[in-house]
Amino acid sequence: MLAKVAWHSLVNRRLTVALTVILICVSTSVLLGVEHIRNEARNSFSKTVSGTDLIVGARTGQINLLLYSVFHIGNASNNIAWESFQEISARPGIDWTVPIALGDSHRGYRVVGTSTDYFMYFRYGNRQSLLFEQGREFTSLHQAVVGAEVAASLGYRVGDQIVLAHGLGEISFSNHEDQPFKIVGVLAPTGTPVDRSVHVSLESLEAIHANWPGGGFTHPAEPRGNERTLTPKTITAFLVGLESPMATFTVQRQINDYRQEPLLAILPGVALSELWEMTGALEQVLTLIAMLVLLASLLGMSIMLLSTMAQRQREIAVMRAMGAHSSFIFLLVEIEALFITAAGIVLGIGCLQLSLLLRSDWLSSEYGLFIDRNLFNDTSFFIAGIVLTGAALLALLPALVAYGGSLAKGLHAQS
Amino acid sequence: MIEVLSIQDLEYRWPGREQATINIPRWRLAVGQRVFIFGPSGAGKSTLLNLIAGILQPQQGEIEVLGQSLTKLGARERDRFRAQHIGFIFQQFNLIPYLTVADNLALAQHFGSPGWSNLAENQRQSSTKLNAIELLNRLGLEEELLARKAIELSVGQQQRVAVARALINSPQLIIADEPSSALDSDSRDDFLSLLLACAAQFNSTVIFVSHDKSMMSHFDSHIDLMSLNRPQETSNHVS
Repeated sequence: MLAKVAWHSLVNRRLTVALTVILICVSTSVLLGVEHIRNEARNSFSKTVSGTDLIVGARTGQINLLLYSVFHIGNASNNIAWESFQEISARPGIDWTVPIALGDSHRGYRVVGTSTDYFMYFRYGNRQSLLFEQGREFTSLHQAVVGAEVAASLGYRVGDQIVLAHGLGEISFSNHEDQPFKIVGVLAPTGTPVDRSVHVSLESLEAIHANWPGGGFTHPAEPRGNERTLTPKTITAFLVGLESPMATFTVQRQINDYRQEPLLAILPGVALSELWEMTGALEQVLTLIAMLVLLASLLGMSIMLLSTMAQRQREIAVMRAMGAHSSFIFLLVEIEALFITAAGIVLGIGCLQLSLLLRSDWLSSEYGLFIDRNLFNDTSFFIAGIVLTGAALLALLPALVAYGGSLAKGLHAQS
Repeated sequence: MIEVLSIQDLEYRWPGREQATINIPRWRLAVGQRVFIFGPSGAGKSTLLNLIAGILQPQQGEIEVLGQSLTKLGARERDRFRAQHIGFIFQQFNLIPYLTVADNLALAQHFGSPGWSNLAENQRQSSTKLNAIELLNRLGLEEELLARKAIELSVGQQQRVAVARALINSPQLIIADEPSSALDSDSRDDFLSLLLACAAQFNSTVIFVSHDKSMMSHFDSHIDLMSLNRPQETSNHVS
């Protein structure tokens, strides 16, 4: 009965109630959105690289190196010499190394020049290795392995031919059209930047950039020159796996003291926590703002309920005359507040879910954020609980006004 | 004589006022009586009705309704008692405007119901329906009105539904606070005869308050509040 009266009372004031629901909807989706993206961003960043002890690149900031080498965000300021890579790879205590050469792209997706060791040693998530959905790794020149998202969004299959572009960006004026690549493998989805990459061998990259004399166009798919002459001169960075993790700091120091050229070796975990430290303050500000927006909207609801109390004195008097206890009046106001809030939360989650479904591709392509599209997790329920509790607390004021008013004053014929 | 109402040394002072608004040494009312109370505005008519209905609590003295001392009941018990035994009718606005007539009647029954179990709820709902239709017919209202919202009714219809709402729990006491002043003089007489006829059917006692003495003739006894109520003095009884 109480719920029925509350429902009809809200329907009776549908315009102000609808606006209040929208108010709660906006604030809930802001808070939920901030929290969801924050959690998911950390998750997705943390699971991008795993099992790599060191990342080595030209000397720069450690966050910068981490971002461009693994997350493909930003660009390398400098390359490192192939000889340095060879020399360090051969050192004792080093288990494996995987070279990475960046700089080209295919229709907006980064091209990663690497070796076949990449498919053997690269780990993501909980030390999972890369799996092939179709085909296999590249074995010779002009072969490419594409990530799951590249294949899905461009409709590529094994056997298709693609053309790489020099530089980054979706539209390029300098395409390597004379030397198309054949797709030989499609990787299974990982939820990391690997999904958005095209992998080719370092030699292939060298081949398309080399200025061949009499560069004719006769047999495009046929490799020109032998692979020994296609040794790259520079690479962008390389990943290092150590035989014993105990040696990490020793090797790091040795690389940082490398004589031939300035190098930087970073521990991915340390660099990530430095990144979180930097973004932490910003995240807290965002959360604080979201909380304040929520508070403002709940206050708005409280004000709306309070302002109607004057008009509702008559209705309350009628209920009291019928024999309603003051607690009925109190609960009526509280339940109205909770109905409004619940409707706002449901609407807010709906809006956020819809925008996640529509915009998560954009987030992953623009910011390298791989966001879980499913909002329904513990954090969301926790936040919904907080919003409802906040609503119940702030509705105490109008509810107590109604309760007190119904107790202190008598019922009057002239109202 | 079975007493519906028994008041002894009753005193009520509004918070912040120096003088008591109500000071009634003694007043008794027998079952089935129809009493007309008149007095100028500000004489304490509404305050007295609120005291009898158990909405206000006196600072001193004793009120017994149907042999039950209101001052000895807790707030929640007084509310339940009012719902079950007293029908209250105002000048105007007796109904929750956004509820249908049926829901208004059901709400009144809800407050008057002793139990909360689902079984009781269901039984009550079917009996409400019968009861409500019967009552509406008796008050000259069509059954179709049940589904209409209270705010969509005319003032005259609203006041008749108000009578139905007041009678739905078959109260022994009906308290009416200027219930006919919103009506024109023709419908006022119709309304009054209807109210008194229904009260007679349920054998309910009626306390009717108004400043308009023209309706006095419909009632068994008339009381001038000014003579019953002695705000300043403590004096002997009036009957």
